[in-house]
Amino acid sequence: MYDIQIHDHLRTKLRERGDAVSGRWGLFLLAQEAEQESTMVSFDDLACLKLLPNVLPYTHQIETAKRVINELHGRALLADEVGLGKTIEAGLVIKEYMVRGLVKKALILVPASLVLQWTRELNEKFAVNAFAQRNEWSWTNYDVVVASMDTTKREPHRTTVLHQDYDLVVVDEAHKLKNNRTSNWQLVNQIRKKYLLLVTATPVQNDLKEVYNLIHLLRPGQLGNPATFTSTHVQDKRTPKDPQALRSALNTLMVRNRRKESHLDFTERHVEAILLRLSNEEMELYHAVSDFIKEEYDYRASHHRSLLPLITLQREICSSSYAALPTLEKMRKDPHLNSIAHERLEHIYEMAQSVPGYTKVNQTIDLVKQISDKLIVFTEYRATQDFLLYMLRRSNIAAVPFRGGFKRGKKDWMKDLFEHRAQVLVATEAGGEGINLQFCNQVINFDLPWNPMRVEQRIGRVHRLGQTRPVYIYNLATKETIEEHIVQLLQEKIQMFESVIGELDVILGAKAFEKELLQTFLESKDEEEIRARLNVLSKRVQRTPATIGREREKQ
Amino acid sequence: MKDQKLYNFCKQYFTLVNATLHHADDFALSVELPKEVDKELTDRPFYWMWVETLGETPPPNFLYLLFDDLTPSPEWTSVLKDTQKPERVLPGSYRMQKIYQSAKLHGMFAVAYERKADLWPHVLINVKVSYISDRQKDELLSYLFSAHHQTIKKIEWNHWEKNLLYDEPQSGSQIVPLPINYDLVFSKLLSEVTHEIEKRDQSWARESSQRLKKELTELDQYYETMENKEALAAEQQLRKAEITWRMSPRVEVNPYQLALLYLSENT
Repeated sequence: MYDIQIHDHLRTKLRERGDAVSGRWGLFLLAQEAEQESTMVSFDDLACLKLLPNVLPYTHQIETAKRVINELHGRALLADEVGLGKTIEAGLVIKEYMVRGLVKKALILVPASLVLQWTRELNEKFAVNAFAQRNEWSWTNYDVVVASMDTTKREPHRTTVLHQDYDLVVVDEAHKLKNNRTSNWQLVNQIRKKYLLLVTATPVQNDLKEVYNLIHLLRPGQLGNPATFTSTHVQDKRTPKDPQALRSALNTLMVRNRRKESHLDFTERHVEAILLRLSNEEMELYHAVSDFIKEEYDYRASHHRSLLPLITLQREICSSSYAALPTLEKMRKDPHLNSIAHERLEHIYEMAQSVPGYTKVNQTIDLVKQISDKLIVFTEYRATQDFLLYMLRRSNIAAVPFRGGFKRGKKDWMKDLFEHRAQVLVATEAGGEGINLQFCNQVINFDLPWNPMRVEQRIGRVHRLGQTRPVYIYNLATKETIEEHIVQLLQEKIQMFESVIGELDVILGAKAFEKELLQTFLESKDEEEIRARLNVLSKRVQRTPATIGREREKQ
Repeated sequence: MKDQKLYNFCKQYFTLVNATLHHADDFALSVELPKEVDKELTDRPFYWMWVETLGETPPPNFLYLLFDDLTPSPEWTSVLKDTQKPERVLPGSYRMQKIYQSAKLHGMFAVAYERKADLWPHVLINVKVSYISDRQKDELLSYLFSAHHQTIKKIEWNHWEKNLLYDEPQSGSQIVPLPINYDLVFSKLLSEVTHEIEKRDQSWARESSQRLKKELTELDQYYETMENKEALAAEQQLRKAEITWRMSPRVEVNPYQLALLYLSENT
C-alpha cells in the first residue's frame, strides 16, 4: 500500500567517525527537545500557527487554510471577497506545508506591482525565506521565489521554470488565467507542480467559461469537458443553469468567504457623493461631445462599427477635458470619418483645449486641503492623473503618482513616499490592484469606473482587514451629466458599497455592464427614460444568485 | 509575558555550546558567541569566507535576545555595541530556528553513564517516522539495544529515566567491555521500526491510495472524452505524474540521534 523509505544519514555520520561515539548528554537531551518541537503529531492541525512571529490570523483565515490542506488536498481556488486577507490564507498554507516538509521549492506568481509586497510579507509575517526574482539565476538559486507573471512567461525564464519541479505554485490575481488561450494560462498549465493555489476575488468576470478554465488548471475534468460543462451548467454566458449545482461542483476546489458572513469587525464605510456644477464653457464642451457621440453611435451601430471609442470618449469627457484630448486626437485621424464629423471633431478639440477653468480639479484641491490627511485620488485616465499631479503640486500639496505601467521598484518607492512624505497618491485603475494602503482612510473617486467590481477593488485598497479607522469615500459627480446617473446607480441603487458586490460577478460581467450603460444613455429619448432604464438595470442586479435560485425552484 | 520554555532552552543551549553569558535583564540573554556557534546561528557565509581567506581573527559576536515584549533596560544594553540590537526571540523566528538546528547538530551523538557500580553498554537510537501523502504527520520512537543480550526494544522516551545519566561515570564504576556492531544495531532497529509501523492505523494510507486511484481514473476518463486527445497527451501525462507525486502514500524512517549508554543490567 505504501513505500517505506529509510534515511541513512545517521549511520553515515557515525561511519565517518569510525563508529566512535562521543558527545555530551545534555546536548543530546536538548536536541531531542528541538526535534519534538518540529514534530507534527497530527495530520489535521495547523502546526504553523505557533510559529508565526508577526501575524495573528483571523478564524476564517485559519479555517480556510485547514480546508485547503485537509479537504481540498492542496489544489484550490482561494476566492474570498476583496479585503478578507487572501494573502494571509495563502501564506498560512505555504508555511504549513513548509514546516511539515511537504514544500521546499515554491513559486509565487504575482503582478509586478506586488512582488516586493509578497516577498516582504512572507519573510516578515511568516518567516518564510522568500526571494524576489531578479535574474535568470534566481530560479535555481532560491527555493521560494516571488516573480511577476509577465517576466516568468518570457524567455529565457520560461524554459528554466518549466524545467524544474515545484512543490507548490501560487498564482495571485488569478483571474488573469481566465482565458486558456493566453500565454499566462499556458505557462501555469505547463509548470510541473504538486500543489497549486489560485488566488482571486473575481473567479468569473464576463463568462462562466472563465471559472471552467481556472478549475481545469487545478483538476481537469472536475466540471466535465467543455461540452458537458456547457450543457450541464450554462444557461447563457453569464447565468448558471442551476447555481446550487455549480456551487457544489466548485465546492470541492474553491473556498469563498464573504464579508457579510465573516462576522469580522470592518470599520465603518462612509460614502458621499459630491455634486458639482460645471462652468458654462465646460458644460458647452460636454454637450458638444455628447451630441457628437450620439450621432456617431447611430451611424456606427447601423454600419456595424466598433462602439468602443465612443464608450471611451463618453467616459473620458466625464473625467476631464484633458482626459478626452488623446482620444479626440486619435479620432481626428480616423480615415473613415466623413468631412462633417471631422469638422465637428476639430471644433470640439479646440474647445477642449481652450476651457479656462477646471471645476472638478479645483473641487478636488479644496477637498484635499479640507481633509488635511493622507488620501488617494483615483482616476481612470493617465492624462487626468498627470494634470491632477501638476495642479496639486502648483497648490503646494505633496502628491505622488501610482500606475500599472511603473516598474516594480518604482511602485514600491511611490508607496513608501506616500506613506512617509506625500499627502496624496494619485492612482490610475491599473495601479490599484492588490496593493495594501491601510495606513490611509480617505479616497476620492475623481471619476468612477462603469464597473462596480472595479470600484470595490479601489476601495478595497484601504477598507480591508488591518484598517483601524472609518473609511471615507468621496465620489465626485458633475450635475446634469451622465456621471450624475452613474454615481447614483453605483452608489445608491446597486448598493455596491454594501456586501452585494461579491455576488455581482456571477450575474453580470463588466463589459456587458458598460455596454448596457452606454446604450441606456444614448438610446434614451430623455432624462426620464434614462432613469427608468437604470431602475430596471439596478433591479436586475439586485437579484442575487440566491434569489434567482429560489425563483427557479418555484417555477 | 516571558516565554520561559524558550528562555530555558536557549540558556541551556548557550551554556552547553560554551558561549559566554553576560549579565542581562531577567527576560533576556546576553551572549558572546564562540566562532563555530556564530557560524551556525548567523547567515553570513561570505563574511566567514572573507575572514578565513585573509586569515583574520574577527571580533567576537554578541547577541542580546529578548524573551518578552518588555523594553530592555539601558543598564544592560548600554554596554552593547551599535551593531548589537536587542532581538525578540519567538518560536517561529529565524534565530530560534537556527538555534534548534544547531542544537540538533551538536546533540546528534552522546555518551552517558548511570551512577551504578556495574555498567553494561547499550545503544539508544531516536527515530522520526513520517507518514506522508498529500498531508503529513510524524511520530518519534526510541529504541534501546543491549550489547550484552544483542537485543533491541522500544522504550517510551517520556517515561524513561533519562535524567539519571551523566557525562562521566561515578568513580569506582565497573564497565563491562563488550564490542558493538553498529551495522547489526541498525539492521535490528529497522526491522523493529518496520514492525511497529505495521501495527499502526493504516487508514490514512488506504484513503490516500483510494483517492489517488479515483483521481487517476477520472482524469483518464476526462481525457478520453476530449476531441483532441493526441494533442492533450502530454498534458494528461503531466497531470497524472503530479497526482501520483502528491498523493502516493509513503513512510519515511529517519534515525536522527544515537547515544552510547552505560547502564546497569536492570535499567
